[in-house]
Amino acid sequence: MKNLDIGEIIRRWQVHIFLILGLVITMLPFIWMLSTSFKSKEAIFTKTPQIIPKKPTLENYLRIFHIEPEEVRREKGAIGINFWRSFLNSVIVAFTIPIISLFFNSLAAFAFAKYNFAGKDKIFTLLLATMMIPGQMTMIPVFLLLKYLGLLNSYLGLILPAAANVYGIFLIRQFMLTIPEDLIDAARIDGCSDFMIFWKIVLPLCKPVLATLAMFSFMGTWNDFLWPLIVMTSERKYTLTVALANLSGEYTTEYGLLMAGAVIVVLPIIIIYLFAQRYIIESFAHTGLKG
Amino acid sequence: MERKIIRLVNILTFTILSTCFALANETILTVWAMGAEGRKLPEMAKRFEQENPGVKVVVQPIPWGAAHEKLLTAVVGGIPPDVCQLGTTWMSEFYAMEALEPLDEFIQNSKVISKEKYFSGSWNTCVFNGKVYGIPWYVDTRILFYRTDLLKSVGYDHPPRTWDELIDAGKKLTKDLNNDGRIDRWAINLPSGGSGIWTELGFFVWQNDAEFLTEDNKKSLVLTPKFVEAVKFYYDIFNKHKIAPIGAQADIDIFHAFRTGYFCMFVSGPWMIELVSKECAEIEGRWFVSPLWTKDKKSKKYTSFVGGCNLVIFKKSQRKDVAWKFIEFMSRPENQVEWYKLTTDLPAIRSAWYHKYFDDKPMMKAFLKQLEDAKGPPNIPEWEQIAYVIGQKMELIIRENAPIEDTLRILDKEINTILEKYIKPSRIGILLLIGLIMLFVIIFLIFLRKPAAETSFGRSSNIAYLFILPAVCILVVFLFIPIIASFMLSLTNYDIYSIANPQKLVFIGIENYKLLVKDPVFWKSLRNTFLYVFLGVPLNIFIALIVALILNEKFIKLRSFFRAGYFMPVITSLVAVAVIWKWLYDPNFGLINSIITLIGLEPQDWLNSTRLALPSLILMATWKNFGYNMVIFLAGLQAIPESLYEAAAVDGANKGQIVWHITLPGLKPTTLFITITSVIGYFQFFAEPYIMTQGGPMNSTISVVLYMYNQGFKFFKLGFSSATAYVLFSIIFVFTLVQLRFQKTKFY
Repeated sequence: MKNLDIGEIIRRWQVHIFLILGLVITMLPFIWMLSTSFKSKEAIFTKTPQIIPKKPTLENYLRIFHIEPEEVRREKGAIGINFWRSFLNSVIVAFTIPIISLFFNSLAAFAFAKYNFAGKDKIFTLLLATMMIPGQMTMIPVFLLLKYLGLLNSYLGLILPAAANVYGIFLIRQFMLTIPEDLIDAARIDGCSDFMIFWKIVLPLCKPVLATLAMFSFMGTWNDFLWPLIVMTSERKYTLTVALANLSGEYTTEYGLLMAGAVIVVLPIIIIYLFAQRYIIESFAHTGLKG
Repeated sequence: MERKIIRLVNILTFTILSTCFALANETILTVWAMGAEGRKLPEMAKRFEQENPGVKVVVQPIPWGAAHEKLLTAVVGGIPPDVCQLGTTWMSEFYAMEALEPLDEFIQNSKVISKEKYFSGSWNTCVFNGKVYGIPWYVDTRILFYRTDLLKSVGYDHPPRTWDELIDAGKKLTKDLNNDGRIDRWAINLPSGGSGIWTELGFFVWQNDAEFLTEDNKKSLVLTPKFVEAVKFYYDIFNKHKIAPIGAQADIDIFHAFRTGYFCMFVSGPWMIELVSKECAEIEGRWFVSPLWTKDKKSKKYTSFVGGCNLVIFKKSQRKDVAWKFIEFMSRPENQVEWYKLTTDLPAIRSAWYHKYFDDKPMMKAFLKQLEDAKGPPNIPEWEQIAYVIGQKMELIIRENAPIEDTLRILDKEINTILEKYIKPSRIGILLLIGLIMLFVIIFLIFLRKPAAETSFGRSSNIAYLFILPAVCILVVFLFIPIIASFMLSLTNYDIYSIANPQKLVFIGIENYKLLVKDPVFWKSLRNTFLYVFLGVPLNIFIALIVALILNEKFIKLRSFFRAGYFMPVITSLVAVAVIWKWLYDPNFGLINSIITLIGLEPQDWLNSTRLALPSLILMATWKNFGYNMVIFLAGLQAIPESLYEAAAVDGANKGQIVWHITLPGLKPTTLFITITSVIGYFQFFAEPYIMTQGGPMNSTISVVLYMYNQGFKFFKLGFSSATAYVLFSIIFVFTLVQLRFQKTKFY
């Protein structure tokens, strides 16, 4: 470790201060959301906003979990959200979709990265072009399709349309392009079948990009609101975001409750992000960015 | 032993059979209700079930924010519920879709429900062509909330009773109390724009004996002298007498404003009574409510708006008699009172108001009185569109001082255009369209030719088809077919009337595209979208790059902590982000203005200014999304070989030179990837304006996708909205091509 001159040390301190300032800006809304979730309804809108609640209360969380004290329930009424059920629905969907879509996407990506076949570029370009159509546009046709397939109000109705996507294929393919041909040829000489090469050699090498995509896919599914609302025709099948959206009223909203709900929605994503962060940084480093 | 088993089997069979029998006998009634109503309704449903054994009520709560979309898809898909809560202003749309069951026969035989038991304004929202399609469930009207103490201080011991008194009291109330040149006490809070402005404008229009449309709803009446007079009066409130602020409609701070006397009066609905008593406990006894004013002493009209929700039965329902029983149950006066206790929704049936429960609630009397003279908007599906253009024109008049008569003349023309429905199949259009498609195919082919041959490593094998099969199958079914379907729709007049009646669905060629090109709002949205792309993308990438470069420095402590922190905005749900940013941008109490005034700058009304709203949204979007690109940049940085840096250090290069000559060139492929995905993303900019500004003020933040979404899900013009999507697609496509050509780098 070489000695640093004073100027360098000051510069490093400045950079850290700059970073912390930036962090405050990025975290502030989140912190406010967290603190609001511990506020009673009355304490939310004050002229000088309280970052630290004066009288913190767990009431909002207790009400969402349906374990509030009896007198609170009598005064404010049960919020009438099937919390655990919708949490379970979210978990089912948000864990299934990444797994299935990763498999299908990587299988297709493997073909696009490592094989030559007639029409390959055309098919691929066509896929890319679909990214340019606003997703809202296909909502009603897909809804009608699901109806004819009898998949409305089922988990499958959420999972199937998301079981493959162009962005995923594209990203995994970029990554696979960087895997050396020699590795695959060697395996082939050893008598590996095409699928075994994919499964035993290529996929393990792709772990980082798969972790990234899994994270993004989990995040997208977990936060999605409009689509699950439209597909699910009974309250018991609502996902967490849909169920919690009912907390906003037509004219008035209990922000403490709403924020408590938002914190609950965000927490699993934070956990998954922290878990996957290591892989995410690693994965893009290999992602066909060789020019 | 054997006997035992047989008995067991018998018992089992019996139980199973009887359960099946019970299930088969049980009638399931599906009821949709919105937001809080949806959450509270199960309590009433339980009582209904007790009264009607064998009926099971399944309540599905629908969030307000997406109720329109949910109902539309359900009706298009032919799977609506049996009973549904429908806002009074939505009735006409679902009537036009021929989705609702007429209820006249039920009403004739009913002891609970008949026309005279309801407020006439509220009942009229259910009537179309002389038939009744819904029953008012709860009502809602607007009355005046006023500070008794402040009015007294200017010599008024009663609320303003006429227009003149409103102005007179208003002028006396509006003051700059601390002499800093800014008014800090306003007489009243009224909207100065937005598609809801017709409600408040309507007070003055109706009180002046004017109307928005003719009785048959076929022509606009906005040029009649009385209507013009009402608009002039409304304009004067803001610009001549200056007793109400322009902008300032944030619902967030109304309590604070009322408590501190920033607003002495405001007009609002029943839900506010409880809220104001709770949130403004300090001024208890110093405020009251009252029905609205009349035009002058002679006039008897103190008309307000009537809204609320009706209960409807859908035509597709298989259990209409049970559905009707449920509606009757909810309409019984005692149950209406119960419902008020649960939700504070005002009873729609008049007799419920005389229940002793309301005896000690003096403020309710004001609502009861107001309900006797309250009106709904014209009952036509086009009203949302008309309300939208009224909002735009009123904004022009109030904010930009556009000449009133000229602007109303344009408004008159626009309303009449909306009211004339077009069905014009065009032959020349088809030819033009074929030309357009040909052109498109040619561009596409040119694009395809370029990257051939280069990807020729790898094996030729048919097994590749097997590998892409699952993904391609899914994409064909759930992506390609819907895309083609929506393209077909863009060539038809698919709208509210053809949803009801497929025979009205007509192929109209490029008519939608022609209309689109003629709509100035579309051009505005296109201009905004380009601004979003050209300002938003560079800003986003620049910040992402800077932060990534800093976070990549080895000497930074707690790097993964910072990485996580800077990524937080990406993973925070947009609804929460919107609430907080609205508060940050709040003109009166927001953090940004607090900081700005500290430095000595003028506070700004960020989201309400046509100049600042768009940059404000770009700032917010940058904050929200830069973390994503930052992570990709960080990863790209790992890919630059360490040896290059070492060599540069040996050569004595300084920090700046290293970044310029090694890091940035090394990041080129990453940057290209990010640029292309970000450009596509910003071209489809939607969520931020949708949640924060709904495209306003004066369309200054509307994006193409938001425009498309409004056309499709707000106005139900699905064909037209598809056409918008394809125009946007072509623009993005050409843009991406240019980018790729420009960069000359092999992208994929």
